[in-house]
Amino acid sequence: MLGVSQSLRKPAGGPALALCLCLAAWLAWAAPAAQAASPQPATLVIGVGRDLYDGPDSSTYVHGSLNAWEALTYLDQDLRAQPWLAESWRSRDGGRTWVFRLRQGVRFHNGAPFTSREAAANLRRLAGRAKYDPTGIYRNVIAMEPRGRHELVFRLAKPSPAFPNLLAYFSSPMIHPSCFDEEGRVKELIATGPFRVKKIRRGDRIELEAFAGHWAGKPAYDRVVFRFIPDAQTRLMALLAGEVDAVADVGGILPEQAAELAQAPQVELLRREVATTHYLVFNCGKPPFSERRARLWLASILDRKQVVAALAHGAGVVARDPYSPLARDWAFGLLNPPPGVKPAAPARELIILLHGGTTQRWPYLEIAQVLQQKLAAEGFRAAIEIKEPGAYYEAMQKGAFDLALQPNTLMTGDPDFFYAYYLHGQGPRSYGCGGPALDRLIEEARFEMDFKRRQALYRELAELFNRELPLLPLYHDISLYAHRQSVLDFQMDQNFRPSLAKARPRGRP
Amino acid sequence: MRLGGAVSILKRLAYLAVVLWGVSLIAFGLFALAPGDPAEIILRDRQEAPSRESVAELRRELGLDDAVPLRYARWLGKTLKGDLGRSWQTGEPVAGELLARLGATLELALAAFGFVVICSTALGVVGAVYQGRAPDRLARAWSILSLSLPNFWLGLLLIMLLALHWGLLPLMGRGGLNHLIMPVLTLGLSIAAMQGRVLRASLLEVLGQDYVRFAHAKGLSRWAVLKRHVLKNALPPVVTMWGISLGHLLGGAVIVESIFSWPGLGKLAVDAILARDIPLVQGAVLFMALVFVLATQLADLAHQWLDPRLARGQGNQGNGRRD
Repeated sequence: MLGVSQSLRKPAGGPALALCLCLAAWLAWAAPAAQAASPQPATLVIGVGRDLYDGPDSSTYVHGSLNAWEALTYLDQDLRAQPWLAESWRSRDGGRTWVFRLRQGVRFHNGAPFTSREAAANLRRLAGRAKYDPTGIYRNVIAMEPRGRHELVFRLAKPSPAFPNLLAYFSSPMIHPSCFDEEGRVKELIATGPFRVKKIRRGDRIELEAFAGHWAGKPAYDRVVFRFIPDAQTRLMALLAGEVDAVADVGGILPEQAAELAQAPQVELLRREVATTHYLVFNCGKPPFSERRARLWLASILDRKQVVAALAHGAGVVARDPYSPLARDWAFGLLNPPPGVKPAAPARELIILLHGGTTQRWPYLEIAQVLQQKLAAEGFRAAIEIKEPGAYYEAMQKGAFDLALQPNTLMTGDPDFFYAYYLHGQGPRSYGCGGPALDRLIEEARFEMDFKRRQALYRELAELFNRELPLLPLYHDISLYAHRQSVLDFQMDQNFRPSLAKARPRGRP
Repeated sequence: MRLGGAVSILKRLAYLAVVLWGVSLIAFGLFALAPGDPAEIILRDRQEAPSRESVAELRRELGLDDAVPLRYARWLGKTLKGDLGRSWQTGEPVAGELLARLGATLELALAAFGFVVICSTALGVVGAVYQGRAPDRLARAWSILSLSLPNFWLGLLLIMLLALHWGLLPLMGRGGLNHLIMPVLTLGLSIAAMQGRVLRASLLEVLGQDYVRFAHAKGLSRWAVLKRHVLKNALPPVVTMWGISLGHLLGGAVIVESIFSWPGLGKLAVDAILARDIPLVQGAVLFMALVFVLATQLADLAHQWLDPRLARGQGNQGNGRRD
């Protein structure tokens, strides 16, 4: 056998050598093509970590970050409702009737005018369908009537002091009625935004082109391309290599990547406080954290400043409010839990529950490990359980946890969104920390039309929250985003929405 | 012979149908047993804080309150009519979702498969012909290295060197042939290394056979002996492995797709699983099972072509001459 092998030595080397030469030739041929693939000057390429195509069964067809559609109102940096397609609004009948005056001169991408008729058709599409109205905002709406060409009247079952906030952004997207069928399913997107959808390549990219007929004028960029780049390291390298001009989305740039980006001269790294708060959720339904004193004790052994500095790499603000302090009207800075009492360690292991999807975006695993160590030092055994979304929600529902880490975004800018969700007895994430008195207070604040009185009620709730500590707000999130120096006036707001209409390429007015 | 051929085809089709039915049943059953409420997961994906009423309403709309056998029967009935339903996440037809990613998956899988075949053949031949000598040791070291490198690490390393530092290749995404180089290398190196070792062992076994010495004694050139007698007889076990790897590659490569932002089926399927998008998962599972079965059947046919005794039902017995 050996003799035969040796006798075959010469010819066998040929294919291997040929293969190497082929690979080298391929590389050499491919290189110039790669260099030629840089984007056009008036094209803005943005890298995002998720596919922003939402599909026909969503309320919006594509994500709001694309700037393709607009809504009646939008929340500003203080989470107050600001005019968007609605120019102004007023309430009557003690908050049971709201009249919205629509902006004039707005046109859809197909040139058709936007009037109260189209607005009402859109809102009827959203109302009464769980897929399009997951929080149930429209359950309180009895009727929606267009009045004239530019007025829209809402009649509500109960007073709603924050109604313009509730209609903001994703809650009232305006699409041309010809785009959706009787079931509300969207066939294509014709809307009013400064960019219109040109091409969608599923799981890859969405291409937009500037809409010259936009009511605020044509944007500076002719084209915008959103590239879907799921891997955080690839996103970073794509930005450094110039394959994308910006990375701007929730979790687009990870805090641990900030140091590397800060040293790149061609890239500008920016920070934006967003409306997301990270919480340590207690299971109030079973010992030891059913005891208020135990919750306060745990809050005292966890140094939240250290959590932000060491684990979140400074990408956060230690929480002084139950929810985002961006909601300026409702932030009182009262969170300063009093000292508690160490409970007796249970015979069983405590469970610290984590959602697998969140551990890649935020330092939840590290926070859980710190908690585990702190508890061990105090004589408590604790296990960390990381579950995929379905198992996580089920465990939360069944109360199969002692502590859990989760984010929550104050989407409406209204405190009721937070209190009704976490503390009200009927809330989807109520873990038994509330009670009838708290429920009454939450409902009273929800329907109170007098601003000062409402503020006083929420102050009372904030004080109660601080005393009872049904969950511990750890820190308010700061989101990082970055763009290359070739892009000017590029910003991402507190809703993670990039300002595509204002952005412009360097050298262009 | 003709009747035999038709029976064989019918048998293969029946086998395919049974496999697909079994796979769909298992996938549906596993999802029914899995914890969590798909309605809640879907709504949470759209809005962090859905109300209880909305979750209950979507459950009703999706038919999730019905018994599992009824839901399976409903799905099977529609599938038999060629309707895979709509994705619960997006509302897009499942067939359209799969087709939209099929081109990218085919492109990557076939390119990687071609690379695996060429590279594993080269490694196997070099290893066998130069057994124990420097090229063999080099090929072995290369194989061990390739097998030891995790995909995600190798992919990121290639991006950093070839795209970021040297600017030779595009960093990510699907485009021309140059977009394929790094994903193919990342995906194919370890498979090629493993199969190169299998081919080397098979070649060494054949090289020791009497008929190879006899072929040399007849005066055939060394290259002719290798091509006509050695390689053909050493290939069958590797062809089976190639068939299996083709099935795996066509089923999607989640890590490579994520690192290189390649819009393929693997990432789509994983996202659908995490989102409990049952119609999309069922569609993807059926497609992958179909591809896997077809690839292995193709390998079987190639095996039979290389060793006609298999087609005659004599099997591959002993180490006698097979050409």
